[in-house]
Amino acid sequence: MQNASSMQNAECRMQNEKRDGISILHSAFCILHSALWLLIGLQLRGWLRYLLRSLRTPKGALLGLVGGTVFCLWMLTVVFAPRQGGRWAGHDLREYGPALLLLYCFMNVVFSTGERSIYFPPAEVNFFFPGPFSRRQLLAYKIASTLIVSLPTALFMSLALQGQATWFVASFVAMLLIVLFMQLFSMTINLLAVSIGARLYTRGRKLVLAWSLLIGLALVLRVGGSPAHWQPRELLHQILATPVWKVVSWPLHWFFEAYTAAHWWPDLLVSTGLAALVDLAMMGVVFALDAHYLEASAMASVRIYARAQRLRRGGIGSGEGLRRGGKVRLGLPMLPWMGGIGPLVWRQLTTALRGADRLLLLLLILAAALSAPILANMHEEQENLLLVMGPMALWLTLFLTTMLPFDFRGDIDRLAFLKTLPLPPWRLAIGQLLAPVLLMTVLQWIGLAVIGGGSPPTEWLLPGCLACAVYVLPINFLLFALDNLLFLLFPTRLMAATPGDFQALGRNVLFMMAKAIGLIVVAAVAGSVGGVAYIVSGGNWAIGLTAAWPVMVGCAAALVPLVAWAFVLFDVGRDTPA
Amino acid sequence: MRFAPERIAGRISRAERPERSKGQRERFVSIVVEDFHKTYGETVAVAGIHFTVAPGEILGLLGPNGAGKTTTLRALAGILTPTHGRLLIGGHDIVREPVAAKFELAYVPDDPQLFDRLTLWEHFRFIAAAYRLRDWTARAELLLERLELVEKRDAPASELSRGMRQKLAVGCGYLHQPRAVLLDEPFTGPDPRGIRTMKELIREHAAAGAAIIVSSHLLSLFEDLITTVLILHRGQVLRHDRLDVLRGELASNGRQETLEELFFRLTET
Repeated sequence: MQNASSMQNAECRMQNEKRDGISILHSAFCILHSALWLLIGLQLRGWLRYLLRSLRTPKGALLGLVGGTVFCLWMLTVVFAPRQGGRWAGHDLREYGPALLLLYCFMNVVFSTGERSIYFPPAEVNFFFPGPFSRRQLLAYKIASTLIVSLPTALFMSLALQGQATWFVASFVAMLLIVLFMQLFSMTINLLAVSIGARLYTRGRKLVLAWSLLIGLALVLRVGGSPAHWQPRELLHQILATPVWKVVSWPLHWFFEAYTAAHWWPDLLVSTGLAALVDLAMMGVVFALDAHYLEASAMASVRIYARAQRLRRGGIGSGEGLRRGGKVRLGLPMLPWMGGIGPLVWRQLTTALRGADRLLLLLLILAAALSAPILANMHEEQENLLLVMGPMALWLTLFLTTMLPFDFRGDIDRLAFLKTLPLPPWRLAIGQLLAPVLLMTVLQWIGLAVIGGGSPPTEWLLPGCLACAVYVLPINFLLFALDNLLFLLFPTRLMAATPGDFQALGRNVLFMMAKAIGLIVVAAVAGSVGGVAYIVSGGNWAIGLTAAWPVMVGCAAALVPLVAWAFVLFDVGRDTPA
Repeated sequence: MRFAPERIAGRISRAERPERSKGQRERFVSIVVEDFHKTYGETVAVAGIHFTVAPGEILGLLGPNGAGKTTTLRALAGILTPTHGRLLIGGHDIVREPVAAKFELAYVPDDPQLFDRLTLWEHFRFIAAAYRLRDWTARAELLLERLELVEKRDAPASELSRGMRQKLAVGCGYLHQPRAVLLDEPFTGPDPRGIRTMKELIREHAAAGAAIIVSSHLLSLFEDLITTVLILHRGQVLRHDRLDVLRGELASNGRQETLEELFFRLTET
């Protein structure tokens, strides 16, 4: 029996040795090792098992139900939404689609700053790289798993863009081929980068950028003439009509022919076949390159895994995920003791400061979102403008609190340490909550200053901005306290969601609703007090707002003992999610 | 079911093995490292080392952090490409004939990452398919029993503790009865009982003719296990000798030095 096994191994060794020398084409079609197929199946089964297991608990079932309902409602609105008469389908899509796809490819080459190697998760590195698989077998596995992941992606995207498509089957097939093309393109570039060396690649892509800009400029000048007469849409039309563009975009336009196909034959089958050939050609290039990518992938895997672990601990706003080694330069002076609150706030602010790029991004999002109504309503009544901006700012704050998890949420793996600190829980709660509140408030004040300075002056603008500036502090405290309370009672990792995870969707919906309800209740209580003061003072807004403010602060402060209680309740052994 | 060491340790007993001359057999089961260099830009991780591991030999790869132990093991496993030099597993060059070399090999890293949503048994299924093993289930059951993982057979890997993960990785490594085993810091995760079991498995495999490399920066953990010591420091070999030779040397030179003290003397001067 053992002998048979040994012989079988030897036989397979021989086969594999032979296979290394067989042609690329044969490799491309035949080399996906049966064990790798088995693994794909086992992983799919494992994923389903995980989903089903988590649905068996009451909490999981509730979250799944809410998430599933929201998803189904969204699907119904998508499916039954009126078609927009092929606004994109048809001529426009066929004309601009290849340009958009090419733009994606160009951006991928020039602007991507991530790891330039084919990424294998650490488990795959551990099992595949020392395992009896050739590099091409592993590439085949990567392509097969990419194809499998592309299926739900394409389905989701074709459903989301259903209103713009002529026929669901055509849009799904074309979307699948487009997604696959994008993945294969990225894979090709990664392999090229490994083949020619990272430094040379970086230098090379700078050259590509420079040459592309030069060629683009020459093309624009040739087609459009003097810049003084440029009409953007006209210019684009003229460029897309040039023979150079026709040649460059020829392989890409089949994807969009397939997307807009109205019938099976010849439209869909012919264009799909040709688009599939383009994908197959890309696959051929991937197999032909077959660089020594294992080392680069293993190293990248370690770095990406470490970054992902940091992200899991601190969320996307922690900035830890973007740190790339080197010495730490930014630091803050230690804050006063303040009963132990100072050092806690200092720690969180220092972490936030070292992810300053994320904070800047947040500021940009806020600024862009808040300045859009100003630009759009430049000539409108300023009262209307404030009515538009108020709810928008509030909604943004609700949404953006997840991007600043410099509190209990970011300390998910450090809660045991926090529990050992010689501080009463309420002080710990304040210390943990203050940093994100202060950060969000400062960002909002900057936004308000920009709006106040950039808008045409009216009698409402300055008082309105001042009122907002005073109110954002308790509102932010309230929202972060609610977020932390919910997190400590129903802990989860910020980056734990996976595609198709209805529970994560349900959780987000429920949390958002809870925060909105909390805010509405507090606003109603404070608003009532403010309203009474407003009426008593004979219609004085300032008095009304001044009376409501302490109520708002009181409600926010009332959450501190609740957060402290939830922190005490949190059992590190039982409640820390995987 | 009673554990049968000869079935676990040796894929086939010596008597059952296909007829090969001694020379042939050695050529097929040993590990050879010839002038191995590994550099990252200007950083030299390993600077030209040579050594061989014969069948049945257990080589202790010792060195402080950053000595080049993991780099050497990862290069031998085919994960890193040598900057210069030749690495042979069972006579196969890991760069030129990677698949053939890897069929003879098991590599267990210091922090084994598993497929979190696969059960323990599914890990074995995958390994069996990867190495095209037949009739592997009895052996897998025995390994589970031996590594005290029977109760977790159908649990997903995400539910395992660090020590159990390491045990499972070792189990996966031994399932195809490799002729060269590379273990990177294998004793940092398991409990004392687990460490003892791992040591027994290593001894049994070596006794069946496997060439084994165990790396650690703690000599005391495997002093009773290894037959040969190779001390690496800053990518270079400081000492490569049989353990009994070293012991004899220490006893005869009157220094009253333990192996650990010798290690510190060599690496800190």
